[in-house]
Amino acid sequence: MSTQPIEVDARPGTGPTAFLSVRDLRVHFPTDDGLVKSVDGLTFDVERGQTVGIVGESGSGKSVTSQAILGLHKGSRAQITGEIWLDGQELVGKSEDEIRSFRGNQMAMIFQDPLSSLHPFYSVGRQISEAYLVHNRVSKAVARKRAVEMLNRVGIPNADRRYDDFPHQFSGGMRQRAMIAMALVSDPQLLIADEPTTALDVTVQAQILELMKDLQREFNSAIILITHDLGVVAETCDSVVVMYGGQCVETGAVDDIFYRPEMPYTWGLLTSMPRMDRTRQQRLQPIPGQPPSLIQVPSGCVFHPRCRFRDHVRGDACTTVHPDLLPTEQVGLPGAIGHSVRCHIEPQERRRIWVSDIKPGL
Amino acid sequence: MTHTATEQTPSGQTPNGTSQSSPSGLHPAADDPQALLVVNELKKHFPIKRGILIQRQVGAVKAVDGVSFSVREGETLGLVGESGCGKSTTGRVITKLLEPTEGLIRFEGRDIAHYSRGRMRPLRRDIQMIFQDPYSSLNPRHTIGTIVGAPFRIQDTKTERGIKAEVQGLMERVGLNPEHYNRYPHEFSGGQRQRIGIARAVALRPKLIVCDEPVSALDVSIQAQVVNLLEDLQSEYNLAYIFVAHDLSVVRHISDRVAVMYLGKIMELADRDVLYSAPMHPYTHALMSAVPVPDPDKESRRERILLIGDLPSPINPPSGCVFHTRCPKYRELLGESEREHCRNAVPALELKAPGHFAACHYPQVRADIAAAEDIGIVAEEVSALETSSDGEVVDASGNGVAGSAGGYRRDDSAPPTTSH
Repeated sequence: MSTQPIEVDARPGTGPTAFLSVRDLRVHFPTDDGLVKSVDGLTFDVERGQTVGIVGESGSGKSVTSQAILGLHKGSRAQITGEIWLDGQELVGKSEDEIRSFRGNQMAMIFQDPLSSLHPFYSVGRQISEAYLVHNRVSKAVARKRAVEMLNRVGIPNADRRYDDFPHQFSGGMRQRAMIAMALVSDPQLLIADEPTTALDVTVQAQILELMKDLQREFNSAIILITHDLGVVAETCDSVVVMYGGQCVETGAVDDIFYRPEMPYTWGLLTSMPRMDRTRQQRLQPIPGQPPSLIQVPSGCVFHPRCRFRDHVRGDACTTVHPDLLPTEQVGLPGAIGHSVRCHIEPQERRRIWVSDIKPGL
Repeated sequence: MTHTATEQTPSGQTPNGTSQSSPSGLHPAADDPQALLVVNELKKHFPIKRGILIQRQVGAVKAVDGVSFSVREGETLGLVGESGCGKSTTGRVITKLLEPTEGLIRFEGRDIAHYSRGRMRPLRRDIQMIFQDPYSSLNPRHTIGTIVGAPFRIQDTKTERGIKAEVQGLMERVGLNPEHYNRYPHEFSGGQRQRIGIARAVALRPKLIVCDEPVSALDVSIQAQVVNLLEDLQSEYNLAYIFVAHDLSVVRHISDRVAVMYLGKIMELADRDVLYSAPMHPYTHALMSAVPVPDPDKESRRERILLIGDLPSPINPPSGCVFHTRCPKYRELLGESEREHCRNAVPALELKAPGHFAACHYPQVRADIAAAEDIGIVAEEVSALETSSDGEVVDASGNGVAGSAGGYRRDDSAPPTTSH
């Protein structure tokens, strides 16, 4: 299961040359009930100016991945192996202090719930300028000016007066804007957004996503967007990592994932959601069963207990052999480079199933 | 909000639709002789009190402010809107978990709006509720058998032995293992807990279930399982649902009719296919255009109407049309006299096309917003709708409202500005 060799992306010129490169990342938590394999061999790259979406259900390891990149597991019982390269520097072996100089400065995070991630006791402005003061030797007045500038930039009206407001005086959308201002105050090159809009209404979500796109254009930052909403991915991401049971089961450019997906789990995600943009389905096609336990990860393919297409594989490979994440070899198709899938079904067969069975039903 | 609320409206306009009521005294949206549930001009105001010894009411949060609709037997009515629009409060008032301030709730011909708890009890067999959070809506100290069997015990409908058999049958029906009868809620996943909540709600074979965001706490793949279960139970027991949700795509999937709410009022109410293919109200347009669709090409082509600013406070809602402070049409397309009308006159929820109610002075069908070309309704139906409404619905400038399907910014192709 976990003995397979390091999988290397088929994309040419990657590896530690990429701005952020995660190589065979494993995050395991020892517990009384057994070893929880939250992330088990994850590899992906992010370039500057690019947005990578990490999609998966709860418990698929997407948030644990982002916390590992930010070094937030330091001091916990987590066992982290693999490599995380940020701009040529390896982060996994670094000490807590060294990581802290990166965090907030070169990389920053936007959390899902802005109310619980802002301190209720300090004013919003003070929390933002504090983040700036940690990494810059400037006076408080300069930091305040910078914080007001950022609040302005993320679209908070009367930023100068709102600086002294407390989080509870902000609405949900404004709090999320303040969080973004705080994350961006030191011009980080890498921004990790963990479900940044899940707690927000669609109209506010549209504002926040628009803001993130604007800011990315302005600062040329790399963004990792963690979400379960495929609509948000389609709107904002350049490439996608689909995670299931702590592993990447499919990765590729956004068009590969939406127009040529080859993994039964990705198909399941696409067919199980009602869609505004298509004829109303008579019936949704859910993925049967429950997400896997991360302590007793299913043998063979992690997805096999819920897979409807196991009869397309001869023998019992699905239940016994862990499939590798292999390139799909769709040479000639634009954007197909870097499209990799972890599935035992033959590539031709997968494409046939997608075209004849899945796509018409969407 | 600099404008004070004016009760006076220009002639010909009817505030809150009171004067246009039918002979039965019901709002047209609620006037359905075959309805199982009729809700007419329902209001729920939460008082704000000041003072230590003598508490004076200094204001009210107008959570629900004059809502009218009806639900037929076996039908699903979707209630959509953003947080704070009053959709959940509406659901809770209908189930009498909250006492209504004003208005009529008629269930099977009886006005239950001011029924006491005791008088409501027999009716609880017919009206049930499914809650959003499958974690806090099940008592952690009770076994599943106790939780799902509680309705039978309270209503005293079965013997203890009969209850166990019935509960196990229900568990099987909703896709749970009946052997788990003696397990506790924490032993189940979120999706399974929601199934327990559903089993409890359908236990007494109710006629109406208010589902308050029943799938929004669940993962996509589990969400589909629960939606399918709700649909199956509906056709099996002929249930009527009031489906409260913020997710427009789920509401489209499950509902027969949909009501869009904003600041305690219904903005638009129509059959599902009509609403999603020919939305009329600018708020519905904004809401629909904000939903990201899982298709990168369409996503990059779509025009998104960004609403500016935040939801106004329901303590002091804007005068006239409550949406005018954020309305893109008000801001970009209307002349000063029309704007004044929006600011001063409350638009009634009126019939603008067959089966299509909208509360807007200047409604306009925008087929381009209706997420897709290949949406449920076919082109002929849309055009039939347009021609039939052409004669009746005329906006201030004399144009048929339904006919023009163009955008608000006809002379400006730039995307709307981000909000500030």
